[in-house]
Amino acid sequence: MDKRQFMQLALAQGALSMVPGAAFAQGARELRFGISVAPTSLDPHFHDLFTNTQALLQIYQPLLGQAPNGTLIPWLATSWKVVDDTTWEVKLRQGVKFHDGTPFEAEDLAFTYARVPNVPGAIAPFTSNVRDIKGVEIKSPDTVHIKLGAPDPLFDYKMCQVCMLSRKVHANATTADFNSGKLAIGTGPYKVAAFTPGEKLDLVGNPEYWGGKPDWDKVNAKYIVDAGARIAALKAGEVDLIDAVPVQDIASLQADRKLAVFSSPAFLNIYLTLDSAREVSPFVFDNNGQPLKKNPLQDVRVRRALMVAVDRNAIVNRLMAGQGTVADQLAAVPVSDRAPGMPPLKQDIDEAKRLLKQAGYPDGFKMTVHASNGWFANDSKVAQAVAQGFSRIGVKTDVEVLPTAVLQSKARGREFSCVLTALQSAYVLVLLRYAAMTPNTATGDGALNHMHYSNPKIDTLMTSALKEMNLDKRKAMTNEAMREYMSDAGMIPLFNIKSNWAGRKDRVIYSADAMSRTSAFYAKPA
Amino acid sequence: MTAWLTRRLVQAFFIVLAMTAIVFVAVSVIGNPVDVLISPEADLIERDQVIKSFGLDQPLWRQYLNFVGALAHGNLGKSFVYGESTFKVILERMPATFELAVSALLLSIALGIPLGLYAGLKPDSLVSKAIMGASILGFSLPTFWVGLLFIMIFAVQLGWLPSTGRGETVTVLGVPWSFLTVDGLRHLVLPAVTLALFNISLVMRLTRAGVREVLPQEYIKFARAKGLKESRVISVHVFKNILIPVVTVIGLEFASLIAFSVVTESIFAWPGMGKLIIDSINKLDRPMIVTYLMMIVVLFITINLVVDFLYTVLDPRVRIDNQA
Repeated sequence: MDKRQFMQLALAQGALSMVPGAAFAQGARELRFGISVAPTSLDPHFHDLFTNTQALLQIYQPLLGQAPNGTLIPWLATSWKVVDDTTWEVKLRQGVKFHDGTPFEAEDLAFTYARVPNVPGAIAPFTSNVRDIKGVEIKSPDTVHIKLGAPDPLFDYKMCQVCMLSRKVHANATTADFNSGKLAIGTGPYKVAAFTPGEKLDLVGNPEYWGGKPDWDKVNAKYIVDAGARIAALKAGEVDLIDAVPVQDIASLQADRKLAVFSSPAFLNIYLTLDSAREVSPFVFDNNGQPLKKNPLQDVRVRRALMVAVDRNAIVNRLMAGQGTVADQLAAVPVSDRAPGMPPLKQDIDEAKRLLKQAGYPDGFKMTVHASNGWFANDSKVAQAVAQGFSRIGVKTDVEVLPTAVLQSKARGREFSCVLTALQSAYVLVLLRYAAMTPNTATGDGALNHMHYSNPKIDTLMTSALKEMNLDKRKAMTNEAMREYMSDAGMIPLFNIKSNWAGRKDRVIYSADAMSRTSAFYAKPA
Repeated sequence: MTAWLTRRLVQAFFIVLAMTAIVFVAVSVIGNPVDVLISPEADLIERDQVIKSFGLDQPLWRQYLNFVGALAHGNLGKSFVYGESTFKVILERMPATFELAVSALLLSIALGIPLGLYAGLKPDSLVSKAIMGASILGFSLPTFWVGLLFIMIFAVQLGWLPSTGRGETVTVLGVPWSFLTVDGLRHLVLPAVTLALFNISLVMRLTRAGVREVLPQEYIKFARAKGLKESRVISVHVFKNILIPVVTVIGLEFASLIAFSVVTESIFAWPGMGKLIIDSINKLDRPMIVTYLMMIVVLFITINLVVDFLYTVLDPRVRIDNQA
């Protein structure tokens, strides 16, 4: 054996012992995540942000949880019911302990609700979930009455947003105390072992968890922003499961024998908002490029024409590689209170042209669609496909792509005529309240209705629905409001995204949920 | 000397001040951070409260004056996203970036200078030509591509090295360092080499050019005529004289390595400052952007000062007072 051969052999042997995962401790069930977005804080009341919540719900718990399909399930509350319009009775689970052994008690509710609006420096607090709470009456150690200022059919949903803290452990706790891990103490199935912002979150199973021993002894999340790097880490065996798989990589990952792709329809709606409220709109022009004196988007026939001009099947099947479903309303398939029996939206060029002619635009007009770059998968390409559909019926459409931050700020400032937007919620009641109701600073309705779309019929229906405590009556109202929203073409729904995860077959099975959360909750050892 | 230093510091002060003003205007032109950060389920009441509590309802000039006022008291402000002192958040990330940049710098010196010397001394040899050819690749291949290629080869195919994250760390003086553990070093290899590739090529080419220029000089011939050993001619007479441009470039490149290692950091999920600044820009976290850029400006100024001092050490003819 000459020197070179010897070196090669030495290298090869060295390499074997260095294969990541080879030295894996058998027996201890360890889950290693590669997650795209890191939580900004471990303070459960600091930042009402999806990517924070998905991480924090492994550590802390609200009174109610959400099943994979979005329905509410008992967590720290064992049952809940409406006593009268403004009083909710909640039975508390007994024997629940925080990670440090402190018991969870009825007094902790009032403490938690008082802390939520008073977290210094919180840019997106959970305040709207607790603002209406007038008081918490403790009837017995396991029964409390929560008094509200006004009837609120969504209060159970709000209860599932706010994580419970302990008045004994967390009195005077600052956000920094949570981030350092010192007071990152909850009632959840996993305890914090180490947290480095933007880098990693290491959790260990909580053997005392009230719901039984958790599935994993260790859960280590690494935050890997770059999609290519996430996939490489998975293929190299450094992580067991990654989230946010780009649609173009699904096929190649599915072809890999060692890997499995898990997907699930998500609550995310992709739709177009239309500037239908103003006499003059900034990005609508006549065929010579001159601003139009009268805004054609005010005409419902024009809006309906645009609604049927888009080829949604092509967008879903080609652009999104099948990772989506064609929309029939502004609510994804898993949404429990979506309107039933809505006709599917099909491309119908002749009908669109007929509607345009009827509205007095036989030769169409010019318009610009504004879209983001990187808000959701393929957003700028989707905008191009939409523009092609519009152009086919004579509405010559340009696409302008902006950074997400710029787009959102300018959209709020009403600087556009048509914007490609994304909105996620598990309830039609919430979707319509934010997107379809007339903006109202006093009530907080219409917060995301940047185009100031206003339809008195929807407003009336929704104002009643938001006070209606009877589920069936409420559903009847939201169904009607959604039908009105669609027939008035108040916005143009396009499709609902499917969320994807990819994992190593020998290590993990992921039961993906509609909330699209990446969490040890939904991962089972293979 | 003192006058020169004072003048440089006053200049630096105004550069930093101008930079903060530019960032304030630029961020406000891009958009309102509240629109990006607030939960989509927050209502208008909540939004107004948040805007007020962050002082974003005030006119820009007043926001800027408030910032300058706080700065005068040594307060850089709190990050919108993290709710903690921006300085603290950046300092937490700094060791990771620093470690990566220093490793890349050491690599570019340790490889670039000897290879450049060799190529300069034996310009016609086949090895020299191969080295110079390779340096063109080092120059022209984009970092993100090289990084992903390295990951595919060394992490995915061969499985020799880990591709993401920082590995095990050891806390020394309250700061976590990863280069002190074997696991940490293995994590460091790929990102450091990726980041260093451009600089290795740069240092190599500069060294070679310097050597080619110095070799025909009279004093080299004289040194050889004196009968000095070739090794002494090269290590003293040649080497010292080629160092000035090399030191200048290394100094500036070190600052860029720290400030702009963002591509490498995001590909290798390296938890450094580069990733932080990109996140902050995306979320319009203005206090974070301002603090980061202020630190980078101070860094560049400091490194320039150090480079100027090094000149006087390397070349006794250079006097700092003359440059003023």
